[in-house]
Amino acid sequence: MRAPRSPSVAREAPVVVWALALALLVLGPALGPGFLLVRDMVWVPDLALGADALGLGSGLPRAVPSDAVVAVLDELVPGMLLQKAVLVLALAAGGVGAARLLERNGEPAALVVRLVAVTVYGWNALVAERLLMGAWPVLVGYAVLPWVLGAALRWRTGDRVPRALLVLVPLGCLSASAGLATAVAVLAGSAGKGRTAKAALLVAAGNAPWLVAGLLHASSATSDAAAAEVFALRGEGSVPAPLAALTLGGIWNTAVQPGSRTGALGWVALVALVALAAVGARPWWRRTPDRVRVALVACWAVGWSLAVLTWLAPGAVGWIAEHVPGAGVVRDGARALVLCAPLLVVLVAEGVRALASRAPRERVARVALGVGAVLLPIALLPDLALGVAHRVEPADYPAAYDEARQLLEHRDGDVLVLPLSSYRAPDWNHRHLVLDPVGRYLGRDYVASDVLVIDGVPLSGEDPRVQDAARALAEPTAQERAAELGRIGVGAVVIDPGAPGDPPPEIAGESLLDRPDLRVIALDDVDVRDIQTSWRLAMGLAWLAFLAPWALALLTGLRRLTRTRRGLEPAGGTPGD
Amino acid sequence: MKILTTFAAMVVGGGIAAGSMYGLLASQTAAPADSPTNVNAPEFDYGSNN
Repeated sequence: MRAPRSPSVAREAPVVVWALALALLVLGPALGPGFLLVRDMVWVPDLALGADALGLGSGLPRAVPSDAVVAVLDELVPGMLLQKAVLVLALAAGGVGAARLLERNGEPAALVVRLVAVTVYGWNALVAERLLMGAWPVLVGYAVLPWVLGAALRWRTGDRVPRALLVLVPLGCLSASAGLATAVAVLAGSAGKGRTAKAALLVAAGNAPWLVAGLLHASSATSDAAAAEVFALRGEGSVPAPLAALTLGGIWNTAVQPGSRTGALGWVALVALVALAAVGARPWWRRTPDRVRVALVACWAVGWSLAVLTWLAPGAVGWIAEHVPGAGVVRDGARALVLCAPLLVVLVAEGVRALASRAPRERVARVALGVGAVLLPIALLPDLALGVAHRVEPADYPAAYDEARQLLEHRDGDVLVLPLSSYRAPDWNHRHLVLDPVGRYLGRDYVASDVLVIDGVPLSGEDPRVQDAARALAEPTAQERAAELGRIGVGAVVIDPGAPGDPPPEIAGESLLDRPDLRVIALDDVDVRDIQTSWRLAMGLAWLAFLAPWALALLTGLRRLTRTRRGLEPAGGTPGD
Repeated sequence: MKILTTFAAMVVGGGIAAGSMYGLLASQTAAPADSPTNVNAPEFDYGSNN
């Protein structure tokens, strides 16, 4: 006899299946064999857990702690598979979490309303734009956000920090901006009655790696003031920036704004989603407990205000980014809009619920309206499908990359990547723009240009060693260049002959590899870069803090399991778990 | 009246569903906006404000 299905499984299954189906439709052919290399999304077969990944590199760490987490996980799961799994889960999980925000007293909303929530959360401008920017840690943080809110709100009904929150907070802090959004959500959901300090401690632990790494690099942690204007929230087509932000759009980079957002459909999306949210606002306010209202409205207010501030006062944001180390993290205003998503989603879903109550009673009409409501976000943004209209496609690295990695495996010193230009658009990557992947691929710490060029105007980078390398390359002879590079810790030079930028000058050394798509020169004498003990100690403590919530969740989980087996605790756990 | 509202509901719901399908197909056949990148550029733009 077959065991009856658990009611919660039967209840959640359609939502999970729909969320996964949307994620698969978003990625489509991108899930084929190969790596997805899009702007800042650079995954390699085996990322090294070196000084750069741990926040001990010479430049301001941009991929801490995400690189370190990937470097550990890809020891267990091949990098290519891991990337796909992370993206599918990031695109699917958020919608399921958002649907749970519609629960009242533990009872789920109607299925169609939950499916609407899944579609609105998983199919919007923010998802499309961040995917095209390659900002996968932001998407992970975005996926985790509604779950974090749910767990933080549950904390109010129990004595202990929910184990789910301990697990989710580090996951939501894989980048600086994601970590800040997670911190806002945790505090908005749980603050009060002695929980505030614990919540602050928890989010400080989750954000410790990038915070401490940023402090260690404080001398280079300020940003070009001009960048604030460039990265400010921006209108989409004729839709002004503050209005575009209402439907989670308005990224600074017009090249990644989906075409459907910049035409008439952008206005239709604005009117349709805001109208549904307006219809849903009053019933949602009436039906929702105070603590949930406060949490969601607070998140929305912080997110929208921060985003609009970058548009309204880019000069002030630029001044702060130039003078306050680390403040540049808020300059990309549209990133803060992740905080607006939970409220937008529940309001739109409530709007659909309110309208459904007035819909005709005939089944065929209700089904048609239900299907229409669930598919509405897709109709408003059709170009998100299939890798954002094939702009995210899998690619295979050239064989020369693997050869270079093996050749450099036992060499001393870091790698200098030339030419000194940050981005590549190689033929093997379908000529899609990507941050030069060779440094990450080689499994060594590396020096590479970190200058961003926007509309032909360069924005200064932050790694002082890039300037040192440029000065070394300006030396008059090949021997002097090699000697000077060796002095700053460079043990090998890797040249991509097909990359843009001035062809590098000759550098004395042993040619290890000379292929059309990669050249490798090993330098004779290298002063291996020394990392201060105080830095190692500080980052060690930061990583311990980052891992502490997971360790605590594991310990409490094991303790509960033991107590349950001994019959000291009910199998369902206690409130707060 | 009941028939009219039922018909209207079917038109709205069916219209959105058909619009989604049409949009999905049309967007897959249109040329991408910024890709492939111009390989002859001296240095690639990370992005654009224009």
